[in-house]
Amino acid sequence: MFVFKGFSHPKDPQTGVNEDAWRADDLQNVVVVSDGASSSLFSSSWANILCQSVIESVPDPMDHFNFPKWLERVRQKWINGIDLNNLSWYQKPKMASGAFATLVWATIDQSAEIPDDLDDDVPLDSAFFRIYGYALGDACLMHFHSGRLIRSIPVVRSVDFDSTPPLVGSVNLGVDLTASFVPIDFVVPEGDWIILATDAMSQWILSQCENGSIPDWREFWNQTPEQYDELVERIRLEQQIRVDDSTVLLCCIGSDVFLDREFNVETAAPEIRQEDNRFSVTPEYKPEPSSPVTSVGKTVFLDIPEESPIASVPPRPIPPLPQPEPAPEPSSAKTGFHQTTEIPPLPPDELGINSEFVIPNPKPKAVDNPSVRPSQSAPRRPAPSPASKPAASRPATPKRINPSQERRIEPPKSNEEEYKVAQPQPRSEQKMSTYMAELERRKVAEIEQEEQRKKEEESKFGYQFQKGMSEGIQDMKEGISELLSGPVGEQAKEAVKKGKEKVTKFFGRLFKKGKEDE
Amino acid sequence: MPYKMEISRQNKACFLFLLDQSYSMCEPLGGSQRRKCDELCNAINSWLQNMTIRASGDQGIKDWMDIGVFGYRTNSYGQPIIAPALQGPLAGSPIVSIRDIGMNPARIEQRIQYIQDQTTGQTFEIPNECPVWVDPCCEGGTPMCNMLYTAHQTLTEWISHHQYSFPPIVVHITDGESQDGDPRPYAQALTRLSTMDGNVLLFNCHLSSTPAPGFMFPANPYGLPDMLAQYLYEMSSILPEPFFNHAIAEGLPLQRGARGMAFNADMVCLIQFLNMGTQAAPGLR
Repeated sequence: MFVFKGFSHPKDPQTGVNEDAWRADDLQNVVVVSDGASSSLFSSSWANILCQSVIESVPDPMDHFNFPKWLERVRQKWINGIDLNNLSWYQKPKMASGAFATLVWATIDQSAEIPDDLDDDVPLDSAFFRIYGYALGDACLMHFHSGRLIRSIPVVRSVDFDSTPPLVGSVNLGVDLTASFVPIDFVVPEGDWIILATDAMSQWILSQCENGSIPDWREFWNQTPEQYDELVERIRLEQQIRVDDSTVLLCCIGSDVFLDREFNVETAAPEIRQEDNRFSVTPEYKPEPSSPVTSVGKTVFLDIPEESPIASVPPRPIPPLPQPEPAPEPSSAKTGFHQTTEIPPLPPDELGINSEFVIPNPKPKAVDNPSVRPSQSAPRRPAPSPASKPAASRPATPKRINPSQERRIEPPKSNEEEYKVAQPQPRSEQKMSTYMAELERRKVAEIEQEEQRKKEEESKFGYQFQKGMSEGIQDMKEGISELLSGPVGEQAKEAVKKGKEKVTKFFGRLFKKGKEDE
Repeated sequence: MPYKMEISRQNKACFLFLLDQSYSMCEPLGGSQRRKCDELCNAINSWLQNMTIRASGDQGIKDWMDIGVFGYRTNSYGQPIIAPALQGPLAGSPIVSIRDIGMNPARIEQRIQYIQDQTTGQTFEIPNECPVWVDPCCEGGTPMCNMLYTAHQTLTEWISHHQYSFPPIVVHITDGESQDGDPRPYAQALTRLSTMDGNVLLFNCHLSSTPAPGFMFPANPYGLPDMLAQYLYEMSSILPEPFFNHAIAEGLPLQRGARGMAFNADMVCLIQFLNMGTQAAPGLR
C-alpha cells in the first residue's frame, strides 16, 4: 500500500542523544513522528512511547471518553520506566511537569473516493488513498504531488514556526489538548509523497519550497543514512536549518516506487520474498536500538495475490471497485411513518374504500418511533386534493364514500379480531396519511353517534318510568334489609317464623282433614 | 544574519556575570530589607539553578553552555581584586560548563517554600533544595575598568575555541560609578569581540539603594537622570532582534534600538532583566 523510509540526525552527533522518534507500520498502515522537547526531562523516552502507542492503538483525540484513557495508559508507561528514587536535585523539579513532545500521525487507507480537486495529470484508473490523522505542535505532515507541495499540516509557512508550540505532556497538568489537535484528512492518488518531519526539518522543507527549490524526494529516498547526516550537517553550517534533532519520514503512496528504475531499489528494498500471501521487502539496513541514526523502515508489505504470475515485480494495485450507491432512506424518513414491511397495494373497492379520500387538511397520526427524528423526516407531502391530482392517476370511475359501505367496515367494538380483519389497507404508502386520518375520523363520528343515541333514549317517558321504578325498588330493598338487620328485624323474623309454623300447622291440619274426608 | 546560531553542544553559549562586590553593596536594595549583595547572590544562584534544571535531560545535564561568574572589588590598599566568584569545588574557575555547575554546587541548602492553595487559602510548607554557588561579599571600591579588561581577556580566550557559537553575553551588575577610570573604552573593546554569529553583548544593570522609579531597556539617552546612567547607556549593547522580539512577546513596551540596560533596578526588575538578557538566545527558549 505504501513504502516508507526514515532518516533522523541528532542535534549533537557526539552524544547521540536524539529526542525525536518515528514509527511506521504497514500492517496498521500508520505512520507517526514525535519530537521530544529538549527542555523537558526524559522527553526522548516520552516521544518513543507516544509513537509506539499510536502504532499499537491509533487514538481519536475527539473521543472525549476513550482518548483520556489512552493518554493515561501512555503516561503510565512513561512513569514506570523512571527510577524516581535516584533523581538528582536538578531532575526532581522537572518531574513535576514531566516530559513534552509534539506528535503527528496519519493512517494511510485505500479509498474509493476520487477527490474533487483532482489534477489533470492523474490517470482516472489510479488508486486513491485516504490520509487521515492528527497533528499537535509543529511536527508537520506534508503532501507532495508531481513535485509540488500541495499541503502542509499544521504549519503552513516556514516563518510560522513558533518556539512555543502545543505539546503532549507526560504528566496530566489539567490542560485540555482537544482544541490543539489539528485534523488531517485528504485523498491522494498513488505515487504521491507524504512527508512527516519534526520542526527543524519541516521548517527547512517549507523554506526550500518557498524558495522554489523543492527537494527531489526520489533523490532524497536514495540517500544513505550517512549522506543524510552530511546533508543536515552542511545545511546547519549554512544556517539553513536550526540545530535540532532532524527527522524526516518519507512515504511513497502506492507501489510504483519499486517499478521505477530511478529508485535505488537495493537501498530501499534489496530483498523481496514471499511471506504470508504477500511479498515483503526487507531493507538491508536494520537500525540498532542504541544507534543515533534511525534509518530505513523495518518491513514493507505489498498486497499481491498469491497466484500472481509476476513474482519479482509487484503489479500495480487494481483500482478499487466503485462502491454501491448508498441505500435510499427508509420510507419512514420521507413519510414520517415507521414502516417495516412494504404494504401491497389493494384494489380501491375491495373493502368498499376508495384510496383517494377527499379529506381536507388531514393530520397524520403521531408515530411512536424514536428512530425517526423530525429532522430526518422529509417535508410531508401536501394533502392530495382532486384539483392537484392528475387525472391519469385516478380510477376511471371514482366512487364517493357510500354511508352504508362505510358503516359496513366500521369495526365492532366487541370484536377486536374482526376489526383487524375488516380494517381497510391503503393502496400505497402515499395514501397512508389519508387512510389513517379517515380511520380517526370514523372513530370520532361513531362515538358521537353513540352518545346522541343514548341521549335520545334517555329523553323518552318509558325510559324515565323504568328508571324511576328500578330506583324505587332498589330503595325498598335497601330499606327492608336495614329493617331486618336491626332489633325490629329480629322480632319480625321471630313473628314470621311463628306465623310460618302456624300456617304450616293450619295447612297440615287442613291437609289431614281433607284426606280423612276423602 | 547575526544572533541566529542555535545553542547546542557543538556551538555552546557563554554567559559571563560581572558582580559588583564593593562596600556599597552592603546597603539595602531599594524597596527591600535585604542587602543588595544578598539579593544579587540569590538572583544569580536562582539563575544558575534554573539553567541547570533547564539543561537537564535524559542523559544528565546537557553541556550546551559555559558560565563565568566574576566579582570585583578592591582591598584595603585600593588594589583591585578581580576573581571568580564561584565557591566550593568550582572556586577559582573563570569559566565552567553548565554540567560542572550542576554537578558541583558549593552546598545545597534546604529552604522552606510557602505555597498557598488558591482554592482553600491554606498555606503549605514545602521543603526545597536550593543549591548555592555564589556567596555575598562587599568590600572596598568599584574597579569597573579592571573588571571589563579581565572579561575581555577571558572572552578572547573563549571565542578562540568557539568561533561559530552564539556570541557571549556579559551581564554586568553594579550599584555605583567606576572608581578606576572611564569604563566606556573597555566596554567598547569588549563588545568589539565577536564570533561568526555576532558581537559580544554587554548588558548593564544598576541596583538602586533608594526606591526610586527604575527603567529598563531605554532606546535613547534623553531623559537619563545622571552621568552614571549616561555611561551605562553608552556601554550597553543594542538588543538584537531575538532579544527584542522576546521582550515584546513578554509584554515589555520596547522601542527599536533599545539597549540592554536597567537603572535603579529592584529585585523584581533584576530578575526580569536577567531573564530578558539571557533567555532569548535561540535554543534556550
